[in-house]
Amino acid sequence: LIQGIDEAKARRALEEAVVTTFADMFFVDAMPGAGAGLPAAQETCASIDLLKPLSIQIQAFFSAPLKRRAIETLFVADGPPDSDKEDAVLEIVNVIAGHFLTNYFGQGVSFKIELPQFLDSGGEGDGEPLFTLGFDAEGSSFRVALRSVRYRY
Amino acid sequence: MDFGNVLIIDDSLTSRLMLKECLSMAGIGVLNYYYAENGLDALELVRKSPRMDLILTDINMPKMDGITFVKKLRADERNLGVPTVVVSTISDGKEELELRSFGIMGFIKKPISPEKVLAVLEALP
Repeated sequence: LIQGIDEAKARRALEEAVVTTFADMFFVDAMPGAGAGLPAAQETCASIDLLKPLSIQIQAFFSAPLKRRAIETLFVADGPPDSDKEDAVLEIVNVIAGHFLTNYFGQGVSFKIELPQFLDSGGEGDGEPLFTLGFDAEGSSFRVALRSVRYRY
Repeated sequence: MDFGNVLIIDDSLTSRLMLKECLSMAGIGVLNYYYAENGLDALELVRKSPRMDLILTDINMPKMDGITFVKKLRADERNLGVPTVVVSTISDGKEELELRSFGIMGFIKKPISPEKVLAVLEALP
C-alpha cells in the first residue's frame, strides 16, 4: 500500500478503465505497455481530482493524432468551433475516472470528484506520482498517470 | 417513442451533443431541445420555458450539481411528474437511493450509447 492505495489493484483498475473508455467512446483499441510517450510540450494534458474515498489525481496525456481522432469521433462534422471541441478530451478523462472508481472500489461506494480540467504544467502539480501507464492507441501514444494528493477533504 | 420538450443538463458540450445524437440514433423523436451547463441555469430555464417532457441531467457540474438541481426541481410541485433521468460517470449506490426518493426514474452510466439510453427511457413509467 502507498498512502492507502493498493498500487497493483490501482494499476489494473486504471488500465481497464482506459481500455474500456477508448473502446466504448471512440472505438480505439488501447494496447497497454507502450513507450513513455512524447515530450510534454507535444501532448495535451488533462486531469481530474478524486477527493473521496481516496485523495488522488488522474492525469491523461493525449498525443495530437489521438486527440484529433477523439474529437472527430465524438463530434459530427458540423459541430461546434474547434476551440470548443477540446472539451472531448475532458469528457474522456471524466469517463476514465468513473470507470477507475468503479473498477477499484466496486458498486455502491460514495465518491466525490472534481471537474476535469486541462493542465498547463505538463503534468507536474500537487502530490506524489504513484505510477504511469503507457498505451499504444492504434499507432498513437497515450499515457495516464496516478498521483497521490493528501488531505483535501 | 417521442418527446416534445427535452432538457439536457451537462457541463460538457461533448456530453450534451452525444446525448442528443444518441436519442436520435435510438429512434426517439424530440420536438424541442433545451440545454443547460449546470443545475442553476437549468432551474432558470425550467421556470421560463414550457413544461419539459423529459430531463436528462449529469451529477457533477459547477455552480449547482445534479442532486441539488433535482431536489430544487421537485420542491416545486408543478415539476413533480416530469420524467427525470441521471446521466453520470459514477454509479453511487447511496446517491441513487437518495435520488430515487426525489423521483429520479432512471440512471444511465457514461459512456452513453443509443442502446443504454433507449433501455432506460423504455422503462420509464
